[in-house]
Amino acid sequence: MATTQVSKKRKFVADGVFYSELNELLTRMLAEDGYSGVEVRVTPIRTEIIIRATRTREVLGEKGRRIRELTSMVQKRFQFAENSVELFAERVENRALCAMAQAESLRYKLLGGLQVRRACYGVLRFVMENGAKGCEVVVSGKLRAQRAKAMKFVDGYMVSTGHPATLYINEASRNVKMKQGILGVKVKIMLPCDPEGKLGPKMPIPDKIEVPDPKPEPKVVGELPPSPAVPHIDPQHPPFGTVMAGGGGGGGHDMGAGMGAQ
Amino acid sequence: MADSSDVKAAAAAAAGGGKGKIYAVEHLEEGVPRWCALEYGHMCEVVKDERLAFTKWPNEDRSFACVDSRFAPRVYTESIADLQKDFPRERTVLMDMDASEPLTPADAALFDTVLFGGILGNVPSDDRTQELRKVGFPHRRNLGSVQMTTDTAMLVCKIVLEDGVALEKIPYVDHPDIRTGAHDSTNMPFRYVALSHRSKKAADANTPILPRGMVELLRESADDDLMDELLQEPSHPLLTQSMPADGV
Repeated sequence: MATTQVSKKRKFVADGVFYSELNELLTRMLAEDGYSGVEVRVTPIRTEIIIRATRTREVLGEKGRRIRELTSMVQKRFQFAENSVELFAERVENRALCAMAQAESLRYKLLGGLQVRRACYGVLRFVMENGAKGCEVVVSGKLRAQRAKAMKFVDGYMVSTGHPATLYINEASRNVKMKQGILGVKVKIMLPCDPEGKLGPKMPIPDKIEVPDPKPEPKVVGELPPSPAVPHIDPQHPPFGTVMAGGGGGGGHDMGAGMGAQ
Repeated sequence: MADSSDVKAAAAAAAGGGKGKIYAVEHLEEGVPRWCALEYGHMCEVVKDERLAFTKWPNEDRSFACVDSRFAPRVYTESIADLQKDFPRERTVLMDMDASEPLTPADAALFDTVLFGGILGNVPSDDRTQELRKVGFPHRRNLGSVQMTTDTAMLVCKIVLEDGVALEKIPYVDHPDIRTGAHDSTNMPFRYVALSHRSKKAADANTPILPRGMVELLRESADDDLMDELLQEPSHPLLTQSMPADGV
């Protein structure tokens, strides 16, 4: 990476471009190993690149060979200094909730000759069985002497708009090259709410309201405590400002008469 | 064998009252796949046999019975470009998405034959119609900006030219979702005529007019696999060759 002074705008743009290219490179190279994302951490000493994947053993390779090759490739391509970039592989907690991993898995099933319905229902079932709130799989394109169409397989609940959509929806798409053109495979997963933050966002969905069950009232056994002393009021000569009980029915008339009679 | 006197009679009828147009379809696919057969069958239901003609037909004995035995439209093995006597170009209008003018009821007085091409296109269109455009049909009209299936295009042309309804007055359903199972549906990225045009019921405004048997075909096509259609995947030296284990 260049060590010359760059403006903030250029720096942020360059960081974005670096992330995009790195992500695309790793997507293509680690497609078969369940690649599901990358995180770049810049420290003063080195740049750390954390690769999230479902099969970390394949990413590391035999005795770390493959990850060393990837490190060397990244270092040479982006002109990092020697030993200033390091790659780590992190295992994905739950691959059923990772849309990238599922899209890749579906792509390989279709490439392997599985029927579209069977492959999609397989993914749908796996995702829902592992705790997702909802899942949508779309396969679109032109198949065997037919018109172009999009086949959609849906289960559960999916939110589309607002801030919850950015937090809860995990989406990925992949392509399958065919003689007639390209078939698109899209997987969309709605994550569950997880207070620990491992399986899904901590923030609960704003329109989900939990009504707790009413608490049972404690039973009282024995005598009631004596009620506090009530001062005696002479109904013929009440103190100024006293509201007398029983005057409510007559309303203002009685009240006015009572007050006026004082 | 089509008789040119049939064509002249139809032309005379057409010139008379705006009725009785001839609808010609240039077949551009290899063979007649099931989808094609269903759309052609629907066309035969929309337009009577003697007014429907298929050109460049693949079957050597020119029989429509192998596609749909209920109907017997005119069938030619030659391309429409070679059938100028039966379909004079000056009185033929080519339906083309790239044409600058839309079809209007007034076109009924100008044309006797309506020509369609580009069956089984991709979305966005592969522009198969250019094969007919190259032949040099001087008169072209479009049916709007959203691609239609060929049977829908024929139905729309019939409504505009024979019933005198303007293109924009016809109720359409764009990109309908057709339910094919408990958890699955198929979205068709085309424009269809709404069933409310026939039934006059507002409840049918979102139901597309589809060929008979199309919903079953959509349901069954989800059980297709891609084996015959895949391109070879390019290999990369750093990619592992083994397929991932099926843990799903």
